[in-house]
Amino acid sequence: MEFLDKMGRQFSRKHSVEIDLSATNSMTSDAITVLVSHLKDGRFTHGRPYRGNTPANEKLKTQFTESGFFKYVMSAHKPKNPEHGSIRARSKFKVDSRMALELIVLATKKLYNKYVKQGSVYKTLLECMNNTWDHAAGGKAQRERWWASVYYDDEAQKASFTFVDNGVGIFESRDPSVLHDALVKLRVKSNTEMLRKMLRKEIPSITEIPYRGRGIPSIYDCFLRGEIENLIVITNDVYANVKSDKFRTLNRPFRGTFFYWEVSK
Amino acid sequence: MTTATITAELSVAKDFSETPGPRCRKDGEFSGEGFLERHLEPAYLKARDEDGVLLIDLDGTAGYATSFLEEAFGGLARRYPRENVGERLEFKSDDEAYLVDDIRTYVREANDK
Repeated sequence: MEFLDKMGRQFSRKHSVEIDLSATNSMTSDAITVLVSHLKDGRFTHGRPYRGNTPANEKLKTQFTESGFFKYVMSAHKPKNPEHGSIRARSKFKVDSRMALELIVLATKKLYNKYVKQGSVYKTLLECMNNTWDHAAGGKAQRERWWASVYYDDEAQKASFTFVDNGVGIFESRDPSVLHDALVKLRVKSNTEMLRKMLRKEIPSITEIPYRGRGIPSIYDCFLRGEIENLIVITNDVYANVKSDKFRTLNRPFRGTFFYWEVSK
Repeated sequence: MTTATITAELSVAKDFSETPGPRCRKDGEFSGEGFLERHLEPAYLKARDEDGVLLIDLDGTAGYATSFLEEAFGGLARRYPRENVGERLEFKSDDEAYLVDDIRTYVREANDK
């Protein structure tokens, strides 16, 4: 996030940017997805050009290639069909259930050598997609683009899923007075505490219609059942590592919503 | 739980889609709204008219978003008396057994505001 923040400052000053990854030795798959989501967002680049090089580290270079990163940036490294990963952007629909299944098929064929149903991963992907429409565009008619990815790590034998949108985030998606009233009414002092309560179904959705407030808690339920692992949520000024129950306030807010989780054998 | 006979069956995967989608049609393909109107409501009415039970097979899909299930089954309970809806529906969900409890909750809380 610090790296993106620096890059964003250059773009906002109308500078073109050269991204030097040559000395980078490791980068997680979620960071690659977030990087793509920002580079393809005109609000971030301000339409300014950018270019970059590939990591000298062979393992990371392969990870970039296999993640599907080069599908979205001009490069000589563009592979036709990355086998270990896929990065997808929202296309025709807000919720693209077929795309969700395609990502799961890729992951489970790597994990189990065949497609194995992953109802919780499917549910989590659809809830994330659904959330972008309801929240990411700030209640306006604007359609927020989202990005979903999967990457299979051979060594760790795990599939990592990332979902990111660069909208307004959960806590800036509605009239600030509504959120303020909710915080007061629920005696919640921060967005951090609010997210913790949202996950645990201790408050209704900020849509204020109880039966519509089940999306985010259902992701938490998938985690509690052990069907998704290492769940991390970042939105606005909140970072939540659900596994370690660490919820903290970020000094550098994230514009939008980020979900990360893993599936292993 | 009812003692009435199963008079109708509906498979989400076979009769509708293996990739159930969002709550509403405007949000994407294979919505809960579409399932309710094209499949669930007609099948429910048939079972009700025959004083029977509708068996819904939830297996064979990639999974479900909560909003799909809420719109379909909660939506049915917003159109018809929820006690009757609860009695006329039975479920098969071997893949994800917890879905049955979730759906029963959606029916029970369908009109809660």
